[in-house]
Amino acid sequence: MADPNLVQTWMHAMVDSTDELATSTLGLEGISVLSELMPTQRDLPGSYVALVGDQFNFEYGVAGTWDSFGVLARTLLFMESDEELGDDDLADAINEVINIVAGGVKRRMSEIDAGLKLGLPAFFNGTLHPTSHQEALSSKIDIGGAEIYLMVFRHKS
Amino acid sequence: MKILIVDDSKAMRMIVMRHLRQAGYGDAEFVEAANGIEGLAQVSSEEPELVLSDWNMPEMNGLEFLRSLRSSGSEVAFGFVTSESTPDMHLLARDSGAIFLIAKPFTVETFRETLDAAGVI
Repeated sequence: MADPNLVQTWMHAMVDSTDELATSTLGLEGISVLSELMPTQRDLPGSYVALVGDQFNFEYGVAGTWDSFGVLARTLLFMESDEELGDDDLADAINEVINIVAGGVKRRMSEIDAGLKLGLPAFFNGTLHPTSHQEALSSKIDIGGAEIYLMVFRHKS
Repeated sequence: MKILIVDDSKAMRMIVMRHLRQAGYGDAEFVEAANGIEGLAQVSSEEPELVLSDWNMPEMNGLEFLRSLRSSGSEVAFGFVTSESTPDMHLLARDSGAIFLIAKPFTVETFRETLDAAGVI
């Protein structure tokens, strides 16, 4: 029988992992959770990566506006707010954010599913459309002045 | 000291270099590669004293890169800098010839302590 809190549990692991990124590599005080456990956001650019295990299959993503991603990418790259940042470099930086965050989720959840494997991240700019075979949640956070959405999609078995 | 940084993300290569400089390796010469295949070529041509490699990369991943190095006879000091850091991966890294594994996200202190403990000067 499906656990109704399963996706929430994996979302909480993502929030924890994102906070760890903020307080370590980014040198921030932490993140602020602005809204929790909402439907997924559409029509926003974002980076996504698969986390596939023996028992569970997830896609993890971060979505946000180009402006918010610009703030986050410049924080990650230690750039000034007025420094030029091309789309390729921005996408590369946001891909690295989801890669680190999903890696932290894998570490946190490896006792639940020891077979978890992390894919390679990809950046999309378009409409997300979860199907009836997927459960999806998002949480809106502030990380260093960038308001972004953390997204989790679970492929139902 | 010449340090080869292998990661498919240009952003992460920049971040690692910045952290190394702040950790006391400001005088190091950095060379870069985007995957294991490019890494093998860089080790051959640049002869670095330390290789820091991501694990998950296209073309040739970090573990395959390390195993190729060791099977070719290279004994260059090698450490992983990766977002994946389960106990099994630590063990696999060590068994394959890595001297350390730094998990992302990291801090400047992580680099300083890990490289000091590994005896990398």
